[in-house]
Amino acid sequence: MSDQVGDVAREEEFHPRGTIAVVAIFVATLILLWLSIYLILIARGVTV
Amino acid sequence: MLTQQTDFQISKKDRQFVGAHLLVAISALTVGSLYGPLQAFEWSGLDLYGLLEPIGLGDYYKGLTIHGVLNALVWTTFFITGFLTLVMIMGLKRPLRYPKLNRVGFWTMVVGLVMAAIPILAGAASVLYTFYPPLEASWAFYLGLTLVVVGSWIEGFGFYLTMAEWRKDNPDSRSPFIVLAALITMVMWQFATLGIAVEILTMLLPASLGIIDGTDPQLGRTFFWFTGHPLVYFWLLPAYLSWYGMLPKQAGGKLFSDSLARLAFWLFLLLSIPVGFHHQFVDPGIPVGWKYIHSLLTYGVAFPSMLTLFTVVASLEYAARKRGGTGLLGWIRALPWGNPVVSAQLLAGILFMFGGIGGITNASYNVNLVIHNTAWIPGHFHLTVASAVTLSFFGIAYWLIPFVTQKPLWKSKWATIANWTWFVGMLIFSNAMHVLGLLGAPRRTELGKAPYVPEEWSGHLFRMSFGGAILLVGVTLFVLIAARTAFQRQTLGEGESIEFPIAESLRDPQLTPIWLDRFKPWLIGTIVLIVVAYGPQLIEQIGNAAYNAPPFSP
Repeated sequence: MSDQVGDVAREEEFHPRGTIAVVAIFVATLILLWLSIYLILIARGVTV
Repeated sequence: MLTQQTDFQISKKDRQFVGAHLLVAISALTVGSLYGPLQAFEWSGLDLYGLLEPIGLGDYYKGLTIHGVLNALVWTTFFITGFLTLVMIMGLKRPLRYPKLNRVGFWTMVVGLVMAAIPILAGAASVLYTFYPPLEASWAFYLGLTLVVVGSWIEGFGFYLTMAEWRKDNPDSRSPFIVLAALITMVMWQFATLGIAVEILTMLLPASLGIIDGTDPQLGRTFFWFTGHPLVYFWLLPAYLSWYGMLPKQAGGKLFSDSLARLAFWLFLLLSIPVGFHHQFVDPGIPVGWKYIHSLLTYGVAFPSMLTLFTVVASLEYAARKRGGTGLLGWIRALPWGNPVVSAQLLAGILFMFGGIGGITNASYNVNLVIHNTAWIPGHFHLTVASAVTLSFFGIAYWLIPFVTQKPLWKSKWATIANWTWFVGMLIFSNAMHVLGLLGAPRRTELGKAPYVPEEWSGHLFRMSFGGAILLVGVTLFVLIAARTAFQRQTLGEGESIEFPIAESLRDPQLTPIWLDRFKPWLIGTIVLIVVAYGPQLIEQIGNAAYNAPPFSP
């Protein structure tokens, strides 16, 4: 399967650039939203 | 979705067996989902429970129990055991080794379901799906739930014996990824359910039968959450199985990495269970140090979750670029959004991203205090079990029902509409629930009758009930499509069949390291981690147990 050999070679070189972008956006959103909840915690003050 | 026949043919009996699971699952979803909007409407001041009074089903907490038990426990467990049965048969290309054993498991689950349903409907088990002591239900409720769990275990044993026979015939081959994923799901479930098995058999059932006078709520909650958190992964892993092992094929591509997929599943087995104390951050009686340890281990679960995000999205990107997609993010448009099987799982994944973010907040020892026991929590788990899981199961059902009935999907476009309706409804509903939680709205409360609801909640309460109404439309469409597909007269044409989707991996799975295909090291690791993370606390709590909390039957 000459096509398949070519395909496999191409496939193994596949670099998921878009996926890295999606993961980066996700991590940035996670940090921002988590931080916003943390700020709410701080704003409510300490109770002992 | 229609293809030519493949070499292995599943028997009609086995197709019907899987179909029986789906019938029970979708029936449970149908009834359970009717109560969801009623709760949402009640919170915003529109109490429709009165309409159900004449048939004795008009109680808020009875409705909440029906909604939780049928949707979170019955819909999921029956769908999962049916789906995994088909995965075992088609993945290994052989029938179950002992089909009678699996049938015994299924009927045990059905008997358990009926046994648990009767007291719920009769108002003798309005204890919600967490059934925390000292709330007390009828003994039949506890015994029924036990039988559902035992039945699922029996089905799992049938899977193991089928796999053992395959392994004997294929000693040097890597097991098919979807089969390994199904087995890991079942093993994790069997470890995890030991918690509620002990809780029910040593505390709740004896108390409900009057054998012991009371319960120990603290110990009961510890046993429950031993099961309760990995229960989420019992729901999620079959969806992941589809995202990793089927969706790439359905989207027109391949699995990006067989090794990463297997590693993620093993890590879920390892890390899903010893994390239960993050549900008990405000419980007295558990030392802070142990809560921190479980908090850190919960962060550990974020690792296989991120592996899943990366590998599944990379598989989708590969598919999209093969379909002509370009750009850093523009390839997303090239995915087959018009295929309801695919769009359901894509939309489920998008909603789940927000579920993951909320989950990190829940796991954080101090930040958790902001949202503990508030509406945020049901907002969160509607993004997991009711989105990542349920919407993925919608997508799976769109090929699974045609596969087992040998009938074409009824109105494919309507299925796409059902997916988007559910997605939009859930975005509105869950966002409102999260915001309400941040504002302090309590969960598990008949808020429509509460005198303390401030004005600033009202807009969000309305938004939440509006989202609930949209969700009702979405699930109604799904049930209609499922029923019309299964019970239509039209069958597949001559020579046509429904494809069982198995995604090929970019690399030959035979190149996957052997340690990612063997149970022994991972089982040892799982047991050791559970003993380390739970052992000392269980010894202390059991040693100090005081069964003196008098039961309360709501």
